[in-house]
Amino acid sequence: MANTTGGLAAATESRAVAVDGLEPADSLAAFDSFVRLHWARVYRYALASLRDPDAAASVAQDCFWKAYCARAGYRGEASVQTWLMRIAVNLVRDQVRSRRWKFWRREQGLDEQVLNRVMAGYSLVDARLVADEQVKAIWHAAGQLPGRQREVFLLRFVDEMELLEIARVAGLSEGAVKNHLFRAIRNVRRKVGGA
Amino acid sequence: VNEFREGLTRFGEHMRRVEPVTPSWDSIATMKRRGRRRQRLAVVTGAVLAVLGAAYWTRGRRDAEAEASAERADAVLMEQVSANLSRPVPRALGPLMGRMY
Repeated sequence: MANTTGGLAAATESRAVAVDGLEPADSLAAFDSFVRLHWARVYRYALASLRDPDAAASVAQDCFWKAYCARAGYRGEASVQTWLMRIAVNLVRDQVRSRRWKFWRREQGLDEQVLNRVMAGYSLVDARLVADEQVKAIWHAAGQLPGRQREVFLLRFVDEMELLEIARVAGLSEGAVKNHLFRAIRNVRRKVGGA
Repeated sequence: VNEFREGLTRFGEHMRRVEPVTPSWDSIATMKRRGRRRQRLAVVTGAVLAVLGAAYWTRGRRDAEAEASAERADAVLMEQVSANLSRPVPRALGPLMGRMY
């Protein structure tokens, strides 16, 4: 149980406790280790999708808060990572939807800032220069993908999820995931090839 | 194709090497609770403002209605007064009218 629940079991011990923020301190401590275990994965997915560090951190926080509030409802049917990523994917979708209206808050150059952060720590020596350029090209191409294609593409290549897991996380059929992934790869390859 | 596949793998590796700072659950929970409290306060404030606005509007409308009805009553009264003043004086009162003017 401990393996599949990824630290949630300890955090959900006190299921009888109301989840409206009136929880005992020991439950808080258990959830802290759960957050430490999964934060990076949720954050990275949100960062790759939204390309905004602040929005990514906000989505990650919301994700854990929602998970905490809904922890009593977790039945262990899917792995806790799948469950958590499903929450994250839905929150990213909401964020993308609400962003369409917040045109006044769009910041220029944020995409490049995040890319620089992703590329940080890599020395651009001649041997790697071409490869790094390709990573940059893929980053830009992935940013231009339509919503579902981008979602599936990032879950596959950033989170290294299997198709079935992506299907569970994105709420799609396996066939639909294959279809979106195929289209996403084709689009990215076209753009990278032309870059 | 292989080069592209390697590119995709490298893209994933780059992304996975991003090491975010993990906040403590305590700080997240505190922030969310504050946010929730703020949200509740905003809802309550909004409701109070809506009630006050509705009361102000209703009162204004009632006052306006009362004023309009008073004006209508005045107009009717004036009409009645005018009608009475313009009525021809009965013959029998003729001499009295002559004395008055």
